[in-house]
Amino acid sequence: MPPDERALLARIAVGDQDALKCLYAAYRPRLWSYLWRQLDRDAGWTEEVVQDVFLAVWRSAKSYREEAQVATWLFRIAHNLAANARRARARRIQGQPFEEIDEGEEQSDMTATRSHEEGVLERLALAQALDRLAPRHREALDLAFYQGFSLNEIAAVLGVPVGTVKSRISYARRALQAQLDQMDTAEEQLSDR
Amino acid sequence: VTDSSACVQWREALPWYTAGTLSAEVRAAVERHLASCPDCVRELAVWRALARSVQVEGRGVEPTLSFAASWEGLSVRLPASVGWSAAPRGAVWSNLAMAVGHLWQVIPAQARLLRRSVWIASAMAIVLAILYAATLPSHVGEQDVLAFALPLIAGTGVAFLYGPEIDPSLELALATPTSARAILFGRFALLFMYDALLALAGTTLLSVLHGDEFWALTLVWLGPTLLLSTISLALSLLLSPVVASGGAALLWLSRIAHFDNGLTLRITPAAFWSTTPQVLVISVVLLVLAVLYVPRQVRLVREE
Repeated sequence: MPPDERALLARIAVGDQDALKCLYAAYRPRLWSYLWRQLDRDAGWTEEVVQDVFLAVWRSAKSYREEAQVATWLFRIAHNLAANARRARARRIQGQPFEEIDEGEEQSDMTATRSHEEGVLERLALAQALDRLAPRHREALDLAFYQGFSLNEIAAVLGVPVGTVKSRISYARRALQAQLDQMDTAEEQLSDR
Repeated sequence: VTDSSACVQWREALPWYTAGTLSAEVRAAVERHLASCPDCVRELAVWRALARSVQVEGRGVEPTLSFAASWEGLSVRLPASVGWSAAPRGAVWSNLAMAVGHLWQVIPAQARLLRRSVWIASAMAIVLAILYAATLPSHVGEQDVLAFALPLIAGTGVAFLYGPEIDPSLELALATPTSARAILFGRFALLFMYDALLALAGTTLLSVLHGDEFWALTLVWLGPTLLLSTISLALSLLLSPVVASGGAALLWLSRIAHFDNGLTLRITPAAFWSTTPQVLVISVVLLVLAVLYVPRQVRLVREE
């Protein structure tokens, strides 16, 4: 309920810890699921960054300008903190950039449609293929299909233009199709032997 | 027969149709198209399978820690997040050391957030001013050029340090545990030091070239630069960056009595615009007031 959430933020802005607790209870599961995937499925790290999100909320509830829904604002903070956390860890571990895959590398055929709707095996294959997606493409799918954000809201969460969100979603779809086709080919080769 | 190229716009809408986040109007239009396009119906099936897979995966992810334990962890961290005031009373030096350490981290971080054009424009303007001063004969006009140009350059740059009009990431920056005051002070310190270092390098060059006394040449611009910068900062917070840069420029230009020979700028002497203890104190007071005021500035905190 957006009006209630805004009222909660107004109470948080004046230092009401109970209001923060309500917001935490309401959003922790969603943010946890979102961040867990962004943070290498590391439960401890996820817990820490989820708490960081609410520390930021506690600190900056006054700066919430009601331009966006509370959910969009929270996920925007979460996205930013997750990116910082990954960057810091990448620097600490090996000095590698954390976004390693360039968009547009994949040129699979968009029109190669094939229904993967039916069958447990196919669903498992899709789950495997999802796991192999680059984090930012997986993130866009997660925000659209699991978190239920609209195109404009995802653009606000990620801080990118709407066109970029469209291209990430579309790229994810093509990459998944390509991976599934690869799996099919590998299976066919195995069964031919 | 359906022309698939005509389906491009509908294909773009399919993921959002699947997610259920389209407006009722667009949704109805997509449904009308689907009723007559088997290709798009097949594509929709792919999106639905994909969405279902993402949802199944998402539902399997739950926090490992109980809510009570997690809240306890968060609530323990809360006092530390509101700043240095949480430190024990009387620990003045400890608070001060924490504040300095915090700013030491904040200042370099702000360098990346400032507009690149601020750095480039300031450097170019200072270099041009120094080069122009270098072409003038020793003791004739060079001091006037420095006294005129350097405060104006610094004051204009400072006007564009902070605010939603010039910093789209401000809301995000404010949504971090770093206070608005630290951000503002960090940015001001960074740009002022940058301008001052460039100006000092130029002053060194001029003093070597012309044999002027370095410190005397520095005092010509140091006080006015600090004063105009802090006035500009205060105006940009109170009103807007554009008003601040314009206001600072007007205030500064109003001191020019006349141009001599079309080249040399004669600036009327004014005790207010020189490097004196009073000017430095006024500048510091303005800076402190600006930094203290920033969290209360409605324009920056809540825009509707």
